[in-house]
Amino acid sequence: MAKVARDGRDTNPWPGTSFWVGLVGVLLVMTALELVARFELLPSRWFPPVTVVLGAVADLLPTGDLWSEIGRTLWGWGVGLAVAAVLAIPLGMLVGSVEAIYRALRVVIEFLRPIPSVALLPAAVLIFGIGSSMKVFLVAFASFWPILFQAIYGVQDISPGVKETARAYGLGPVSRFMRVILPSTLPYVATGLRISSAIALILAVTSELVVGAPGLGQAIAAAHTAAQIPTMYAFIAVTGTLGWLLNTAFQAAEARALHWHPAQREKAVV
Amino acid sequence: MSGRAMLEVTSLAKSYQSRNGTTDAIADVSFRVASGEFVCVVGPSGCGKTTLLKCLAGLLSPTAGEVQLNGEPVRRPPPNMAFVFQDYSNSMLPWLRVENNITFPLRHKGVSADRRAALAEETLRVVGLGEFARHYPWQLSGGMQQRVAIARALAYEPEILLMDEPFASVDAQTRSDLEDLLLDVWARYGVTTVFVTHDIDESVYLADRVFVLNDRPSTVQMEVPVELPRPRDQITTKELTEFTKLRTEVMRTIKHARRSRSDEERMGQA
Amino acid sequence: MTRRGLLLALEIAVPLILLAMYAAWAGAKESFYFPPLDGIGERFVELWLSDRFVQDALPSLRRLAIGYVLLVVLGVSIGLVLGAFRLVQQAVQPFAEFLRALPAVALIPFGMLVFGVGDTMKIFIIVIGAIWPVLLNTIDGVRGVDPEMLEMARAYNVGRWGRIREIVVPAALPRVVTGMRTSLSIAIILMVVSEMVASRNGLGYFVLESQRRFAISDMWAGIVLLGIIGYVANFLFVRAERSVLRWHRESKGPAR
Repeated sequence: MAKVARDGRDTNPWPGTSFWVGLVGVLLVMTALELVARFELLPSRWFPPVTVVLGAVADLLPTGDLWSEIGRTLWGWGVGLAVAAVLAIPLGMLVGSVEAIYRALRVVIEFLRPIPSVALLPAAVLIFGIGSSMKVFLVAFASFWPILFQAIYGVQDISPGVKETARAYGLGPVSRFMRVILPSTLPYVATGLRISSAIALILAVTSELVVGAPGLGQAIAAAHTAAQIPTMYAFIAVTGTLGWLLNTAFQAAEARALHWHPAQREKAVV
Repeated sequence: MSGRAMLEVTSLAKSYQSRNGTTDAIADVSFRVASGEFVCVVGPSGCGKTTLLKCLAGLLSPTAGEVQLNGEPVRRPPPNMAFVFQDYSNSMLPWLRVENNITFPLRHKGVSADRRAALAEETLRVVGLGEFARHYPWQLSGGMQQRVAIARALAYEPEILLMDEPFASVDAQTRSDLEDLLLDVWARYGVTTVFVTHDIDESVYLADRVFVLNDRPSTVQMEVPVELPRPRDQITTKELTEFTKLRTEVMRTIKHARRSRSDEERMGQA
Repeated sequence: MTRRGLLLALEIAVPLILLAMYAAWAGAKESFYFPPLDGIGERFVELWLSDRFVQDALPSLRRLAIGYVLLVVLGVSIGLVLGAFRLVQQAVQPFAEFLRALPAVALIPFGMLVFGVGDTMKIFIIVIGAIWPVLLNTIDGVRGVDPEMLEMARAYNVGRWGRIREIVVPAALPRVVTGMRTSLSIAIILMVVSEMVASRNGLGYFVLESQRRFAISDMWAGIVLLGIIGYVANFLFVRAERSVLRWHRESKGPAR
């Protein structure tokens, strides 16, 4: 939907071009990188041409290795995120709706949240070893906070008018929760999940890279140590693609959950 | 028409390109405004009033025809012209105090700091907001913000003032106060004024002459000289039979224009 | 006691009770992994009020500060340019989206190839990994500037440069600041991880090394210091944001 400003200027002068412009941009950057390597402007031993890296990706694709590494990273990501969501959503909604609980926990939450979660990595290794439970713990700890905060905001942001109306129509506590609180909080939770998904992936890859829990991060580090440079870039590219796919999926889900929300309406117009 | 022509509009036309094709906003508009005159442009909503005004201001370049100010063609906003916008909330800069909003254009005009302060002080006093110099715009009501916009225009020391439905978004009482304030200011500074509105009473009450535009693509449907005595008064002026006659005349013209449009629409749908 | 007093008492008492519970639990259990509070406190004072602070904490803070300043300057300037030129922005967008979605820690081996294991590598990782929130928010901020504000300035003959400096920049500032806050927490993460992977000093190195030496109280003392750094950075940021963006908060009315 294009909004034509009151003075008649169309806000998007080239409707529909953005995809093709983006494609051209990607091709240009990749060509530039290819040429830089081919003409040895940077040592090609360290900066292999894009085609070589893509070749390395193609070599990896049919092997079980790549897919099992992706699977291990995704497993840590998914289980950690799920644990965080299961804990954070109910707690956030409780904290958001009962002021006494909010006040009691505010200081604790405000203090724990800014702690860089990676700082806990050594402690997690100590307690859980270097396996996947360590990964899940770190992912869950880091993903917990954005979901918690969004759930608290979501409940607190329901306008008193809406709550009054629900009460005036004689909705009991259960149906108030199901019909008012839950649907209003859901979009905020969706935003929290999207933010947490990105953080979860960072923590999963970090735990693999730093202490060698199996997964993509460990594969990158191993290729680096073995000086298999194209393979290293191939794993980095795969990690990036995974991140991009997860982010796109969560954005789409968020847009769906938020379709009625003012922020989303603005987005549709602009 | 007395005095020399200050603003001269010759065969002005403006059309827009958008993805739905070409829209003709105004077609062949010609008129002259004398120095010191107060002119209103009135027309049905959705006609090219705002477009016309922005062409006069040099904010939009016309598709055909010409605008001349003091014999010079207008291609960009002239330095002796000030503009008051309809939407006060977006024409005020929320991060600047009221006085700095007024002096903002003056700094870029190269006015000295002392002179800027004096102008801000004087114009704020004239619009009755002497004590609000240190406030932020969003601390003021809509009517007060529009007074600040008028003060900003006056401080710019223009020879000609263009106003785009400046009182359309304030309540009725504030509106008549602002109309009287504007007439005072106009008499005091003798600034040539072109005032766009969709309110027929307002146009007749304020102007020396009213131009009635018809529907898109707009042309000047009718020119109505208003020879009501000045100073005008919200009660006594509006009681005059002459006032009633004039507003009926304008209203009939507009109604006629609108009826022909709805006929066209009905035919278009059939 | 009034309701307000009761809530305030809750706010103060609960954290203290939790702390006391941990102290009692860890003290009685004599767990290897969870040393008693006073043990951690003792090591904390011994370590961080001595030259260990200079040796490990200062280098970390320096890398963080340089990287952060660099990424903010770069992110805002590139964002202003991209926000103004739509075609360039559209061309760069997919690449930016990809790099933003790539977990930046995966680039550490790449950084080591290019810059070795020194400070340059860590600063590079901080910049490349944490610049995206600033950059993308600046673009959004620039594109979200109200066209009427710009038109007002144009009507009053304010030149292009004046419009950018005095309208686009302040109007985009709230979005930029939001991005800066996200970038800061990512920058701290990257500082720690890059020091864990390849370093001979710094807090990330210190906590991981302490764990490997089974110096558990040292490890916790390091984690607590990192927590404090995260907390203080966030606190200072919120403070600065409040004073700089007072107009933004209050102009939106008390509802938000």
